[in-house]
Amino acid sequence: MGRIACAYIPRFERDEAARLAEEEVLRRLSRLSPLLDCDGHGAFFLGLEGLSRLVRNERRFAEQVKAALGELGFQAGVAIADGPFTAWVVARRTESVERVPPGKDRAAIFELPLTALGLSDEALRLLELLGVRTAGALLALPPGALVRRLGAEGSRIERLCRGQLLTAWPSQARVPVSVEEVSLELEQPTEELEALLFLFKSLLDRLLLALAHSRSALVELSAVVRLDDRTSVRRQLTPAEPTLDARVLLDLVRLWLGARPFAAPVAALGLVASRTGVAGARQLQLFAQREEEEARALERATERLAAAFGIDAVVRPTLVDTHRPEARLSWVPFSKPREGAAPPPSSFGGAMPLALKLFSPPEPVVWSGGTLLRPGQARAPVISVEGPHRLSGEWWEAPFDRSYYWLSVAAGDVFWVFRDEASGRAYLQALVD
Amino acid sequence: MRYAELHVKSYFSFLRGASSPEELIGRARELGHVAMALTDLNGLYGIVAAREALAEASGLGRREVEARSDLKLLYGAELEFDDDRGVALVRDREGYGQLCSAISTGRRAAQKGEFRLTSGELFERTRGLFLLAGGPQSAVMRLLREGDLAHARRRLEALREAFGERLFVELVRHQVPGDLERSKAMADLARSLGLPVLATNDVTLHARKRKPLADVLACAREGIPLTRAGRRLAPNAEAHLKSAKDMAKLFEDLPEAIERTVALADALRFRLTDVTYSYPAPDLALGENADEVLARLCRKGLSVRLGELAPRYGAALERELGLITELRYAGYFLTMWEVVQLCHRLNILCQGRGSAANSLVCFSLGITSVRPDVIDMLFERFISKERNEPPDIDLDIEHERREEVLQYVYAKYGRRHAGMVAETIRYRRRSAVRDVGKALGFSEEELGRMSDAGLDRDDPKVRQLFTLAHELEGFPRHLSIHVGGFILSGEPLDEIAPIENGRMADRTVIQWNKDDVDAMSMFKLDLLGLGMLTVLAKAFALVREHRQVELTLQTTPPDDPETYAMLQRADTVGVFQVESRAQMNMLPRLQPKEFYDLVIEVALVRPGPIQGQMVHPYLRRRRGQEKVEYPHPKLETILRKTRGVPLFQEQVMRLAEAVGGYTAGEADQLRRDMASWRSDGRMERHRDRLISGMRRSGLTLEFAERVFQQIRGFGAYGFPESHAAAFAHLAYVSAYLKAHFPAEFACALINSQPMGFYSPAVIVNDLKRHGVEVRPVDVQRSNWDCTLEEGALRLGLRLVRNLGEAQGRAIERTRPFASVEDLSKRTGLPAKAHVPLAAAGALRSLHRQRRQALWAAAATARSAGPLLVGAKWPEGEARLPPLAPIETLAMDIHYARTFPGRHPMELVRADLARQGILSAAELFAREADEQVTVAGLVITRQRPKAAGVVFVTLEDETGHADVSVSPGAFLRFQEVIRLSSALIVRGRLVADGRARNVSAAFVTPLEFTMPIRPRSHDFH
Repeated sequence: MGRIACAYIPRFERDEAARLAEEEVLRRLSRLSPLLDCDGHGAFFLGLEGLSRLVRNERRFAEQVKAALGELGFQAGVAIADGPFTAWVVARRTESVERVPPGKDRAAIFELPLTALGLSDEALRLLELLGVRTAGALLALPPGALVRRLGAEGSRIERLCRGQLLTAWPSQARVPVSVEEVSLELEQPTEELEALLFLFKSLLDRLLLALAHSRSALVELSAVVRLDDRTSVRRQLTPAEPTLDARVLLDLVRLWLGARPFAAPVAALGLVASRTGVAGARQLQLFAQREEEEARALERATERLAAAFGIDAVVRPTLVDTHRPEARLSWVPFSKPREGAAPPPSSFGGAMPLALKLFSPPEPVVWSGGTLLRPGQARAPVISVEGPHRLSGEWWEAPFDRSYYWLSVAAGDVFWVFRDEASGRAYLQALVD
Repeated sequence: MRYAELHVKSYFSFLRGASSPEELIGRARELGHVAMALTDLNGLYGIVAAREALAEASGLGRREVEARSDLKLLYGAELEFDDDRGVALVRDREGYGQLCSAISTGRRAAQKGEFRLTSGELFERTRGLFLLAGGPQSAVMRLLREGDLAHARRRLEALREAFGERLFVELVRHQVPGDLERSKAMADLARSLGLPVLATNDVTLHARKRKPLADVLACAREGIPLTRAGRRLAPNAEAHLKSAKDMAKLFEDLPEAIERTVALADALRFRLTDVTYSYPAPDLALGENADEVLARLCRKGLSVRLGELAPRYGAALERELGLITELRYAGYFLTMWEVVQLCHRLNILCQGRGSAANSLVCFSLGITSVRPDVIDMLFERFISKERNEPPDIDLDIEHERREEVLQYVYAKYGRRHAGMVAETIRYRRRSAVRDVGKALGFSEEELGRMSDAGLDRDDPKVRQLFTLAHELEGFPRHLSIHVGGFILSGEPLDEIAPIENGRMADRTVIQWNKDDVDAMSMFKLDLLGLGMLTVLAKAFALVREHRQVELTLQTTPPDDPETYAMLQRADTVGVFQVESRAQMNMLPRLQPKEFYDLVIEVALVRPGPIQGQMVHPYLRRRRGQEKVEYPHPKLETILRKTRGVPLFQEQVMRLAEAVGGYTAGEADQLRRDMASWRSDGRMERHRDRLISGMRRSGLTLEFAERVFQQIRGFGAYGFPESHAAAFAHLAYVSAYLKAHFPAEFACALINSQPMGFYSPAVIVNDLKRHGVEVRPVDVQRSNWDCTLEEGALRLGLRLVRNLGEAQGRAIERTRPFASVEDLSKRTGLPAKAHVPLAAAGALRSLHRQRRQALWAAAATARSAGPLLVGAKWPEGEARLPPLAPIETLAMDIHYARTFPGRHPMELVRADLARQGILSAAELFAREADEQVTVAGLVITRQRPKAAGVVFVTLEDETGHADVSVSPGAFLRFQEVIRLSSALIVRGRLVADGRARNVSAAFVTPLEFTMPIRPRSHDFH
């Protein structure tokens, strides 16, 4: 395996925005190396294998990586080492660029303070109490001891320090998955039955969906787990009839897992459709999820529109909880999640008339001497006035204090007019049915 | 045009009303209203305060104000019942009792702060009550809004059946869209049923301008900012008190709705003075009389307690008994005697304090401890015929056992006759800024900075924040329970004031606070918890068990020279009242030699004397450095015991009378105003009067100013002589125990934590310096509590972090253990407790090396998951590095909260000595004004407001070093002082008698190779 560079962006959140940013970063880094991977937590790996003609100076290459990320607005530490783990830990500790000379990975890790590994507070506290402060000291502990004391995290720490994590290169997530074989490498080995069943369920769903697309059903399923001590356990599971029903198959997995204790926590698991047959209509119906797909298609379409024209280009109307009439309707981006609950009705329960047209902003009018004058229109004699009712508020930002009236004019129109108490001016709020 | 506003919610509707009773009453009087009814939501919290406000505003006494004021104050409550809401107005005494009962029923049926009353329960309590139905939040209005006329009608018919002719239909017009139509529809419905309509404005604001604060309160209630509050806020500011003319205009179509308000107000004749209160009759044998029983107990008690001195006080006792008989207070004293007897029976220590220590009756009954030959007993300070106020006895009880006494009182008198007094928790500046800030959308971080200087006051939003926060200050936020106030009543208490549930189980509380209870002349028993009494009780038991010496509060040998010598050395860690940094600094200067010196010591280091700059004159006169003079001949008798310097609260009161031109009643009002939460405004009113009075008596302006500053400083913190004497007694007893039984005293002190001034670490270090061996916590030997082993202190499991009492007791019960696994299995120790137990060194008997113990404990803590049950764990040997001494200490202080072995400063002593840095003990060999450097762990940081200086106490293996940091030096070194757990301080040595103090000029952190963080008693 050739040399590897790692760029580490601190505080890289695992949210939607980060996912988009991650793709942007990968796109940008692909100009520097075709061998790319990322861990979803802010670490980006670039393989230098086969690039010897292009990369004559590793430090300079690292600086290019850092500059590329800087152009995207990220401050990253960059390190180059023999293996991805060493590159990762060194990159986490630096804000600039560092190079571990070839063959010196182990020495670089040995003195590494455990605080550099991103451990939980609980793990750090215990290791500190035990006087274990470097990766080297940790490696001197008996194998398996940390698993017993810190559970899954202990296993991860041990494997991390032994360089057993981040060794798959590129990581499995980037390798296309066979439709007849699915597997999963666990980030942290587990011994919890429910957790394993949950993971097997997700594998089963993937496997069965792929089989359904090829109109096949499972005749025999092969389940396999690899334990943390690197031994494997395999089991053939045969349903009573060919099936695509995940519940039936999961029950078989549950029976298998529940029947025997393993000697160590489970580090990886996999499922293989070892025999398949033709699926019947009844089985295929399990996958009739057209409505859901249509909904997803709509979301995809709006996402594309938003991507093409900007996020503000796709909007939907929404009601706003406010006393100010012209502010009650608003447009929000389509992608914005809908509010959980509708605003509560006002405790004062104002019954609003049916407005034919609401003026936003309200239209200045002149109302005096028994007439109403709208801009550009003839003066209209007011034949009746009802009111006032008062609306006021938003004193903290844009205060308003208004007295509202219903004005009937000779032509038969009814206007909803308010007088602003601060200025004394009149405004037309709405034409009323 | 006449109008009575019959629906008004004040700020006692808790986050609903936005004006105080004072503001509402003031505005109603300005508007010329005939009457105003205070109708807070589901409560009568504000009615006494409203009556008092009206009395103050109209200049009438509380007994006459309801009859003679221009504004008739009416009483009622807005009640929620089922899904309905209406306003109940009190017509007469019976109606008042019915309303109290209804509110109590609703409150007792729900958790604290909530209310659940059914229509049926209300309908059983309608006598003497009027009901206004159909308001904006009523069921009838809701049904009308929904267009369900038939059910609206049926609901009104049901209410009419319950209230008969005392049912009115309320019409409210807040000028929101649609309410005119709804109001008219409601009036039509009422008319169709032959029910009278009546106008109110459903008031929540005294004036329109209060609307912003009302919005902020709505946000605080809902927990949302203003920008998200939307229509949860009122749509306008119309819910304010309006003039009769404005109301008439709003209801010009229904003039009878206005006129009827006045007619109804006339019909409501109840006054708060109709509520008569009587103390429960004592349990007496047939033919016995409470006065005679009391006299018999007192005469006997006086004789027993004073022996041959008793006859000297016989006449004074008879005078007290005579007044008690005349005022019919005997029952109250018998109750207190009974509580004290109960405490004796149950072996619970108790002692009266406060003004009760002025009473020979209290002394004779064993309620108080201070002897009449020690202080001047001013019985009038306790009971006065002129004041005609019930006596107020504060009884301190061991804090861990107070609940037993409280439950006894409940059980004896019953929940309908006994209840605790409420405490109104009000917005202070900090909480007001916080709630307003949250409403205005400030972040937590921004609000955290608000207290810092340098805030941009020109920012309009910040200005808005502070304006509103200022308005909000003093508003009630919620109701809590008074620290110990109990009300007992002969009549059912729930017909005098509503009763509700406290947050604590088995606690019931009346809706009135201490001021209300005082204003209603009700008898209050204060049963307070005091940690030091717990310490003393535990120490007495340990002394009895280990030294075979029987001690009690009364039999502790007085005038013990060793005890006073210890006090003079300020060797007072753990001693009641004189253990603070300031008290320790004063002791060597004051050099107490007898009990009264301790009384002065306790009262001297208080905000009053400090702010009044009375401390130094007193000390100079005591040392003979200044002549004892009296500023006025009249003051000689008042100030003789304190060498011409006023130190006690009652001296200041008497001074106000003697030379300030105050009457006794006015002086008493001055005392009350000092203690009031609104004291700032009220005290200013006394300022000119008092100072000019003293000037007229020939006193200097400077003296008069100092006296006034002292009065201000007293506030709620001033000590009367009697109170200081009661505390001084406990100070003496605790000092005696520390002087003669240091191990027992320290053991009791740690076992009573949390309490007091110092952490267990400081107490343990102090004990070690007194030559007592301290043995570390050990699961094979330690109990939950600390214990004594052959004169040594064995630390208890209670000191281990993350270990609960149940687990500690399980270890105590189940040991010995063969291994950590054995301990874990047999005690059911939770996972989180294993590692702390090992880190605290408590597994030393199972693993000699603490790291090996940690290794084993961490493995045992984690039980295997289901897939691994039965699987074997082969494991090689772990070679863990040995613990360095500093690591041991870091674990000790963090996980065992103490240093049972060496003090951390011992590890760096040689280095420090090489740098010329002194130990705390070495300071005493240095001369005043020398430049010195000292270092130690920070155990206190204090910044008393009166002094303006920051005081830091450093601890090392030899003792404590006091450091004072001037405001200027603090500004330069505040980060180091606030954040460092150990300091090196260079500065000038200030020596006053045996007191030593380093005036800091330069402060640097003292760094250990790893963090050592003892808990310190801090100002921040």
